[in-house]
This record gives sequence, structure tokens and C-alpha cells, in this order.
Amino acid sequence: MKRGFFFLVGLCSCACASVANAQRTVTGRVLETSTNQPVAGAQVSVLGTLAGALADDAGKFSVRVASGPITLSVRRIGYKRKDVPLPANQDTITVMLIRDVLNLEQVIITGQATGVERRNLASAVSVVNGTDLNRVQSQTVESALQGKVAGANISANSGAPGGGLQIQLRGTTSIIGNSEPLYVIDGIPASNAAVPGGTNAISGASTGISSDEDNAANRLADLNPNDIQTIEILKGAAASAIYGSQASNGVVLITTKRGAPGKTRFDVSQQIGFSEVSNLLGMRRFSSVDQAVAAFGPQAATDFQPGVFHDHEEELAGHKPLNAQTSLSLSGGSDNTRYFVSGLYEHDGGVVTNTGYDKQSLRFNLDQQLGQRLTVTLSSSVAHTRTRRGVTGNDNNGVGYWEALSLEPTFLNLTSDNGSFPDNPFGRSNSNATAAMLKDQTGVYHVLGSVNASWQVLNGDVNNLVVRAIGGIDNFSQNDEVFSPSILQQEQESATPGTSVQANTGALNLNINPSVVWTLSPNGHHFSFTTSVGGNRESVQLNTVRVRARNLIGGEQNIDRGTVLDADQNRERTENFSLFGQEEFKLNDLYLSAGVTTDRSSANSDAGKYFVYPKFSGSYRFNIGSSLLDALKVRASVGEAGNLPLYGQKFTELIGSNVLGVPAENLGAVTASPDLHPEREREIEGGLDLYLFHNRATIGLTGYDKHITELLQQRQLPNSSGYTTAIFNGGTMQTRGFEAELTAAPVASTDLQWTTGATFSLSRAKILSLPVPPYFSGGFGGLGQPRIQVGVSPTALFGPDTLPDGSQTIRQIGELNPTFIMGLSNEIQYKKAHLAFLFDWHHGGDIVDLNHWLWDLAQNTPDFADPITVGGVETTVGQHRLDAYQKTKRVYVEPGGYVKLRELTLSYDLSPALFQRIWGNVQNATVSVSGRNLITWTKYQGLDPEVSNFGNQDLARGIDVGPYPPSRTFWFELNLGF
Amino acid sequence: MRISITLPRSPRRLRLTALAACAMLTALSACGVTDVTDLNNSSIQDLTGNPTPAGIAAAEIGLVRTARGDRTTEINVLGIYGRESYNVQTSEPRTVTNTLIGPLVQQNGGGLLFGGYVTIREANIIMKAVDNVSGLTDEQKAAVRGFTQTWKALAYLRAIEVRERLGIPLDVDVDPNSAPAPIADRDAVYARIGQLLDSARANLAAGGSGFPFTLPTGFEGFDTPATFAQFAAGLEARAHVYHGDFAAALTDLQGSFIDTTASFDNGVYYGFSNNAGDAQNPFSDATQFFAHDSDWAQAELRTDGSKDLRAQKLLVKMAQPFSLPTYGITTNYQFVITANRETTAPLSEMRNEELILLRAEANLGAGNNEDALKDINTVRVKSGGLAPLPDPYSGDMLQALLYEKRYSLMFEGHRWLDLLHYGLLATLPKAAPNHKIFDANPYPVNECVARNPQPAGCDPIVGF
Repeated sequence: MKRGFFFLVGLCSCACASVANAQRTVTGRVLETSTNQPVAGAQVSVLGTLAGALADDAGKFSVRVASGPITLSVRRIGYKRKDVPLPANQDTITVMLIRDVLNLEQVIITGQATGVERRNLASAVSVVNGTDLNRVQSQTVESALQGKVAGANISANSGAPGGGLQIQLRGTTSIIGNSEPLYVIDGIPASNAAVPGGTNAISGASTGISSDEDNAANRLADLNPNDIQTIEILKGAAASAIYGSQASNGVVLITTKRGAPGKTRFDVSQQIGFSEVSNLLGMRRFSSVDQAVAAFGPQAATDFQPGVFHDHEEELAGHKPLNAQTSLSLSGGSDNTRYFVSGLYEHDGGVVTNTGYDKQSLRFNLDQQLGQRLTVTLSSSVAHTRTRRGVTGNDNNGVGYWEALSLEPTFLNLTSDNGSFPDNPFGRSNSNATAAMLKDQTGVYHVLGSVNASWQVLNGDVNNLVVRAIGGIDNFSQNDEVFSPSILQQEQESATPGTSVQANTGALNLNINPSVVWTLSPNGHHFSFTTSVGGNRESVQLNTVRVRARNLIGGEQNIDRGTVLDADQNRERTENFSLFGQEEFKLNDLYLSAGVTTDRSSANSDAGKYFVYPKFSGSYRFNIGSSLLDALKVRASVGEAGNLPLYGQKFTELIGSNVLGVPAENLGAVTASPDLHPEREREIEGGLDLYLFHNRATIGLTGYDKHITELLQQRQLPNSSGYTTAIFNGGTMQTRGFEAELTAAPVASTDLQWTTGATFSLSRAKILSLPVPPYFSGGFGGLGQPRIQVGVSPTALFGPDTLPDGSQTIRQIGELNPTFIMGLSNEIQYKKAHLAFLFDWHHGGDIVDLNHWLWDLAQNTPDFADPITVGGVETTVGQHRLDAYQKTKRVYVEPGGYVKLRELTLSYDLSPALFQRIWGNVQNATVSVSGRNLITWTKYQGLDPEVSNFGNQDLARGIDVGPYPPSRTFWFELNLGF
Repeated sequence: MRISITLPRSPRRLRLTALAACAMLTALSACGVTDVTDLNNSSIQDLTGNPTPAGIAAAEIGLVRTARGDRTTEINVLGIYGRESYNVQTSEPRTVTNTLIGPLVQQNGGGLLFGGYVTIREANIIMKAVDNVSGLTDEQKAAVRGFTQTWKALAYLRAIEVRERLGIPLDVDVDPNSAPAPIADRDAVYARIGQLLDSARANLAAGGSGFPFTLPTGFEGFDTPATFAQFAAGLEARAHVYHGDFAAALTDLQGSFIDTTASFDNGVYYGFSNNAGDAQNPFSDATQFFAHDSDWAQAELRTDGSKDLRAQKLLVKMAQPFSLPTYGITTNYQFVITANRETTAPLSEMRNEELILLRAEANLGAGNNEDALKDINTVRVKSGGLAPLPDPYSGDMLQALLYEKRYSLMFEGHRWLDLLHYGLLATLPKAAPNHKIFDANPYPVNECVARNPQPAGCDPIVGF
């Protein structure tokens, strides 16, 4: 079947390759209005024909056209499009393009196969361009997006190197379903799996070799942010419905850079910098032996030394590692063949001993024009990352670094003496020793590739028909090594000293996505119809095998050196199929669109059943033309999208194990509904876009209302029924919110340009109906957890509290969802100097600071012994917190709002002449100093208000059990263009 | 306004396009979405739909496995409640707060030994599967039923023993979406346990010479229907003593493996192993489990001035004390099993020594002090290496019995239960003023959420 198709394509492209009967040559230049500089790479096309050309570095172009009057259309990314009529007797022309500072003309992908110019866009799609994304070096795409997208709550799970961030678009949309948006890279859905590695074997945070408390990084981290041209964010069903059952959390469309015709461009950037921890808890000073004994027991009387202060936290996390990044890119090509090649070498040290992140990545993007009608493009990348993160987060073995620190008195020296570390007699481990000797390493090879064949069947002035097929593959293999040598204190105390974990994961996503797009623009009318139909076939597979060896002979790492071995394996596979159709209508300033997607998936109980997701949207632009208000666009859209059950949720299982080798089967904890199916989100979105001061500023205001019905629910059944958990669809959640985006270019003179932007968003979720009694979901039992209850926010924290009458109750003690989020960015260019900075403000939202509790229990918080008088009784600050905690769990529910200076960069364009003596070809040179996460203002008392002990979560983010601390990074960069 | 639309000039090309598009979509759907079966585990259908003897065998060992898990919980938590042991995880303070300080609420401590209902449901599924399975003889089916009912009864016993004054639900096969089963009081629960074990023993008696499955190590001597019935009889005696049915207990004991001449350690054990997919003895974790100092201090002295042999056998002094000042916990002793990190040491469910002491307790309860004293002294001399109590004994017989039970069955989950049964919990020591003694455990949260009005078992238990 496939061979036949390609034969057809080949046949047609040959048969149909008709070339216009050229009668004259038009030449010209394309220049930028304010500076008169040439606009290299501008695309010049002759409307209604296939003829076209590209402007060279001098802005010059030449194109063969038919005799008679024609219209040239000239466009270039970052400039406003210009259509110029050319009479029959004119053969030369100079076209002046105006900079599109606010990107009003950028084409936004709105369907699976089509896009629309931003000026007509009917829903609030946020777009972040590569330059805005990469102003300051970041390890992952998500951290580079922080503060830049209205409606996105982007938060790190910890400060650990190598990623692990969650993007939540427009608030809470699920309780136990997938919490992530769909990531589509160059047209194909990509894996964002986070596979836990196996530090659980060391921390004992949960049972088994690994757990979701292993601080796993989601694999979007493997993408090189420098390769990204644009990121478009469809935030909810109203915009993302065409992606069907995988789109209710929104869709993030990532487009990588491609080559432009013209002279080959070679850019090299060398960055060097360092990072340092931006916040530590601090440790308690003991002023007397009595204090020491009161905190650490009788043994402390022996070990206490007055005046001695060892800050173990500083010893562990006070490193200032050097970081480096080398980035190369090569792009160029001819009209027919264009390429973009990039390479990245990155090394980031960690502020904690023996941690860090290395990334190497290569990308090759190719665009090949075959004849006039067929274009084949290739997008491919391969990345290798190596992440070392140590053991942080929840722990039950007293080995996790911040749990261990809580039991390390500052009067005791725990640093190494010639490589041998003393045991900590007051705890289970010595954090210095663990960090120095434990090996925790995740290595990932991630290959992403797609081929897009696009056949321009018709390219008339009336009919334009494109047949396209994209095939994609996303494959990563992850290897996790955890090795805890038997000489460590905690291993010596174990029955089986020495632990080694080897875990291997293979993940494969396969995708094929054909589509047909027909655009009809009748002559003499200002309207057009765009019809697109297509389908998508996807296979998602994951296989993880973990082996743990204990009691390591000779203290060696290889798992065959262990006398006690155990293993686990997890396999997942999901098969999806979808069909979509979309109709778009444009008449001058009116834009209407309707679409429908239907899909089925093996994740549903009935793999053959189709689910249908419609959408409608429209916008109208009023061109007002006053000096204040140029135009006003009203837009509205409504759409539905789904969220598939996770793999395995539909099964009711017997769990196999053994008792001394005799096979055993037990009832699984989960009883699945026989008709498990996707959650369904219906989103209504409306908004206004204002274009002000002669397109110097735009303001976009958007409100949305999402009803999520048939929620995937986890019902805890009465234990006496012998059932534990039922998974089924039911209930309704409403999530409403408001977003605003402001972009302005208050000053745009030749010498001075100032662009400023602000994003604002808030969202509120509420359970409207629940077919089951209220239940807790996520977090730690009894210490403050989200509770699913009608009329209440699903992210509200409930926990034990005391009523004024002294009786104990369980009631709301906090709220995890921030009140609002704001981003403020500014970019100022004065001649050759350039300054940019970005603030990210999360206001409100609480965090359950369990680490604070652990440190208080150990009486090792720095302020523990500070005197305080409560109700006439003298006590200490720490003891008061502990006493109060007996009555209410509010004590360690702390405000988690913050303002962070995410990015600051100062750069200067040097004269290329400086370098031309060494490299004659240098065309431009820039030096810059920059920093990320430089300053944090927060009342939060833990390490960092960006924290999630359980990783990416629908609800229970903001649980702090001693995560990896946050760091700030400083960079110096030299960028040369050849 | 008239709209004229120019149709494409190249219908052939269009036809080809349509053909190509159709071809692609057909190819796509031809690939089809096949359903994906469960790649990681077997389905419950294997047991409920088409049961096989092998499937039933594995499910039976599943009952043993959950009983083993519940046994470790019982020893762990009741050891703390009864001030025999500590389980201290510094980074999981709930190990202390939920067992020594409280209050015990639905979320914290509510689930203690309540998980047995899953075992009971599994047992019920097995009972139905046995009716439908082919490949088992009637004798083998009877043996399976008897074995299953024994574990089911034990699951009820564990749930009620920590909720004596509250009662527990009895009916398990209710629709989980409708109102849960009513709470039965302790009399009704112990009556059900008695019925189940009577039925189990009858089935085992009809069970032929062997089980149609292999039992794991630890069941030596109890691995045939006839010998396993002795274990069931012992459990029934235990339940009857807990409920105060002393005459019934004495009858049960006759069917058990009680034997003052045999090894006191003879009995049913749960083995542990280092095998993948199995579990290690949790009490081998030397960083977590500690003994109470009073375990050593209150052991009686032998004639040579050394401590009771049982204390010497079970306890070992640590090189330096373990201390958790914030909670007022300091201890110098550890259990030998922990100190030696015995990951594969078996844990007993029932030993001959317990049966002898149960007989003493039943005789004492029935007023046969002389018979009781005989058994007490047998244990006291043989196990403790202590001088026998004078016959007739003028002291407090109950205290004498409780001392022997405490030291013979130390760290086996009995002391708190014994003191509870005789209203003596207040005699337990408290390490810090804010520590509490609890006399029951509430129901877990999900049991309470499903009930209206809330039964007494949903209230926090503050302790005293």
C-alpha cells in the first residue's frame, strides 16, 4: 500500500510539473524601513503562481515572471508582509519591509495541518520565539519558558540539575489522569515520560526499587533549547480540540530551526560560568552541652565541643562549580536544498557534592524541494545526557541528604580525613560521606526524527491543494545506575551492606500523520475556505527493567556481585488512532473555523470505540484606525478535548509474588471500571485583542471556563468490602480563569529600542459534582493533602486541625494553587548594547514544608532554641512549633509565593574587525553576561518554593521533603557569526 | 452578490489526490488499533472466570503472604503499644506519633490490621473458584476450603483484636458502591470466627492426605490437612480465650498441637527469604527496631542471679544507647533478631509455648487454678530457667500468668492484648508525659467516609 502511494506521488509530481511561460525578469531589493538595511532571506513570490525567489544577503532578488501586470508578495519572519502590484512595464522595484516587533503576522499553527496569522487567531495561543526563549542559557526548555507564557504555571520539582519541571496550562484539569500537556515537536507527538531511576533503593521513600519520589526528570529535558525556532502553546480544549483524546491539558507545539537559502551561516557560541546555591536552611549552633544533650541525647555530652561550628549543609551544598556550554550551528542552502545543523556540548556542575549534568546534542534538519511541487523535510536530533543528582527528597532510611543533615550536629566534624569519613553517631548516615561516595547517574540517549513529505497538488490563485504525510519516531533509552558502596555507614548498619541498582528503559513512540489541505480563494472575492482532513496513528511503548543487588561482594558495583538480588519490570503500550477534519473561513477581518476529531485508543476499556471532539471558533477584527486604538479583535471559541486513562488503569489484576519460592497471587489494589474512557473537557474561551498606538502595543485579554466531565476518579472503597480502590469515570470539575498578555514597544528608534511584556494569569478550580464520597488524593496522609470534595478546590489542602472548642477536626488548612502568576519582561537595545530581564511572580499558594518538621523534630533548625513566650509560658520557637503541630497541621503549611529574577542579560555587539585578524570571516560578534534565577524574594522557609516531592502531579505539588536546593547561575558568553 | 467559484482546472490531479488521501487513510486504519492486554500482571479473570488448580494454589499462598504481612504489622505495632519495642524512623515521624502519641485518627492508625478484608475477599473468591474448578478431587476441594477458611478466620481475628470495644463489619461480599456492612459487636465477630474455624476443621478432616499445593518452608509438620487442622484448632483456642470462652478453648486445645514434652518452638512459622519477589524479615533492620529498656529490667532473676533465660535469649545491649530526645525515647537494648540483622529469620504465627500458656489462661479463667499453675510452672522452668512457683501458689495467679506470657511470647504481639483483656493497660510505662496508651484502633478513613451516621469506631482515640 505504501509503495503504491509513493509511486502515485512520484508520478503526479512529474506529470504536473508545469512551469509558467516566463517572459520577463523582475529584479529588486528588499530593505528594512527604518534602517535601510537589506533584509536577507526575504521570500518573494508572485501571487497566483509557483514562481518565487529569495533575497540574498544584500537583499537583492531576481525572479522570472509572465508578461503582464503581477503582484509580488514579500515576506520574512519578523517583518510585516507586503504585497506590491507591479505593472507590466516595470521590471525593477525596491520593497520596504516594516519590522513586526509584536509578531502580529506570525502564522500560528491552529490545526494539525494548518495555521492562521496571529491577526486572525480566534483563541489565545501564546508564542515564544527562539530568541526570547534562549536569552539566558537554560538546561531545559521548560525552565526557559518560565515567566513567559500567560496561563502556564511552570514550576520545577526541585533544584536538581538536568530538568524535572511541570508545565500546567490553565489550572487543574485532572485528578488522577495525565497531568502533562501534549508535546508536539516538528509535527509529531513526543514522549515526555519521566522514568524513576532507582534512588528509592537507597532512600526507602516508598517500597520497591524505584518510586515516583525518585526525582525523575521528564524527557523533554533532552531537547536542546537553542534549536528551537518557536514554541506555540494551545492552552485548553478550545484551541487544542483537534488533538482529541490527548489534548485536554493543552498542547505545546515546538518547531525547530530550519535553514534559509543564501550564504552559509555559521554561528559559534561559547559560554562559561558558574553556579552557586541560592538558598540554604542553615544549621543550629549549640551554645552549651545541655542544649546539645537535650537535642541529641546523652551521647552528645561526649561529642560536644564548645565554640565548634561545622556547617554540614554548606559543606554539602556550598560548591561553586564551573559550567560551560559550546554551541555551534550551521545553516544555509539553495532554493532547493536547505539545511540546519547544530551541535551542543554542555556541562553543568551541581552545587551539591558529586552532582551535575552533561548534555551533548546534534541536530540535522533538511528541506529538499523536489521539482516545483514536492517538498521533503527531515527533522532529526540525537541527544545524550548524563545526570547526577544524588539522593534528595523523601526518605525513610535517614540517608537522603536533608534528612541526614537534620541529624548532624554542628559541633561534630563529619568531613573526610584522607578520604575516610567518620560515622555520624546521631543519625544513620553522614551526608558528606554519602554524597562523596554514592553514585547516582542517569544516562539517556534520545533520538527524535520526523520526515514530512508535502506535495503541492494545486497552486493556483484560486485553488491550493497540499497533500502531506509526516512520519515520526521518538526513541529514548535510559540507563540508571545507583551504587551505594558497602563502606558507607548506612550500608554497614544494613543486613546486606552495599546496594547497586541497574535500570534500563527503552521507550519508543511511532507516529504517522497524513493530511490534505485545500484552500479555495475565489477570484475577485476577499474570502477563502481552507479545508483540511487527516489522521494520526500512534504507538507508544515503554519497557523498564530494574535490578537491585545487595550485600555486594568486595564492595563492587556490578549487580552480579550481590548475594541478594531482586528485580522489577514494567511494560506499557498504548495504540491510538485518530481522524480529523477542519473547515476555516476567512473574509477580510472575519475568521470562522469548525473542526472535529474522532479517535480511539487501547488505553480505553473498549479499544474500538471512537470518541468525538468538536470545536468552533471565530474572530472579528474591527479596524478602527484612531491614533490610540488601531484595531480591536473580538474572539470566541469552544472546543472539547479528552485525557486518556493512563496505561494499566483499565486492568483489574492479580499481583504475582512468592513466599520462599512458592508462587503466590494476591488481589490487586485497583478495581477498574469495565468502561473506562477519556475525561472530557469542554472549554469556552472568549477574549479581546487590542492593537494600540500604531501597532506599538497589543493587549490580549482572555477568559475561559472549562468543564471537565467524566473525570477519571479514584474512589477509595470502604475497606470492609475487601476492595481498595476503584478507578472509573465520573464527576465534574470546573476550572475558570483569566489571562492577560501585554506586549509593547514604547521606543523604537534607530538607536534605542525598548520592548516590554507582561503576562498575568489566574485560575480557580472547583469540584462541581462527585458521585462518590470525598476522598484524599496525593500527598502524605494526615499531614495536609488535597481532598476531592464538592464545592471545594481540588488543590485545597485538608488536614487535622483543632476547633476553637478544642475538638479535633479535619478541615482546609491551605491551598496549593497560586492566587495569580505574573511575568514581567523588558528588553532594551541601545545601539550595540542590549539589556534584558525577566521577573516571574507567583503570588499565593501554600507549601507543606515537611522538611521543616523533620528538622524541628531533630531540634536542628537554626532558630530552634530562640526563646519565645506563649500564653505566659516560656518556651523555644522550635518547641512551640512542635507543640502547636500536635493541634494543627497548619504549622508547617507555609506561604509559597515568590518573585524570582529569572533572567538578566547584558550584551554588546563587538566590531567584527576585532576578530577578523584571527578569523577573517567573522561577520558579527557579541559578548554577554547573563544569569538565571539570580534573586528570589519569598517568605517560604524551606529551600525553594518550587518543589514537588512526588514529581509531576495533577494536584499534590508543593510537598517539600528536603529537595535538591535551588541555585543561581552566571554566564559569560562570546558569540561569533561567520 | 453573486459568487463565482472557479473549479480546479486539473480534475485528474484532484482525483489522484483523493485517491492518495484515501489510500493513506485506509493504510492507517488497516494498521488498526489492536487492544493491548495487560503486559505486567495477570487478570482477576484467571480466578473468577476459569479457575485452574494452579491458579487456586497460587491464590492460597497469596493468603499466606498477606497473613505474613499482617503478622509483621501486628508484632510491630502491638509491640510498641505494649511497650515491648520501638519502631523509629527518624525521617518518618509518623512511626512514633501514630503509635505513642496519637490521637489515633482515621488517617493515622485507622488502617491497623484492617487490610485483612482484602484477604477475606480473596478467600471468598477462592471458595467460589473451588466450586467451579476442574482437576481437583472432592477431598482436595475440601482441603482447599478448610485451608482458606482458616486464613479468613485469622484475618477477622486480627481486625477485631485491636478493636474489641468497637466491633467490626462482618459481611464482606457487599456491593462496594452501596452502604457498607453493619458493624458487628465483638460477640458476633468471635462467634463468626468460631464458626469459620469449626467449618475449616471439618473440611480439613475431610481433606484427604494432602493439599493440592505446596506450602512454603515454615509449615513443616502442618502441611497436610490433618496436621494443619491442629493449627486451626490452636487459632480457635486463641480466639476463644480472647473472647473469654474458656471451656471452648480447652476443648479446642485438645485438637491442637499442644504438647508439654515437645519443643516449645514447635509451630507454624512464616519464612522470609532474600529471593526476588519475596520479602525479608522487616525486624532485621537494625536502624529502625529497638527493645524497651523495661524488657530487660523487669525480667526476673534466676537462682544464679542472672536474668530470665528468655530475656537473655531475646535481648542484647547495644554499644551505645539510641536516643530520640524530642520524643523522650532512650533505649539501651535491641532484639537479637534485629541486632544480628537476620533477614531470613522466620516469624511464628503460633508456637507450642503459646498453646501451653493459652491452656493455663483458659484453666485460670475456668477456675482450675491447679491445672493453670502446672502449665505456668512448666513454661517458667523450661523456658525461663526460673524456679517454679510454689504449689499451692498464694500470689496473684493472673500476674504470674501474664509474666510468663510476656517473656515467653515477647515481641510476638501478645502483651498489649493480654493487658487489654484484663483491663491492665494502665500499668504500662510511659516514656514521656505526652505519650499515650491506646485501648483500640479506629476504622480507616474510607470505612468512615462510606458510613452515615458515623459509628463510634470513627472517632479519634485519644488514649490515656
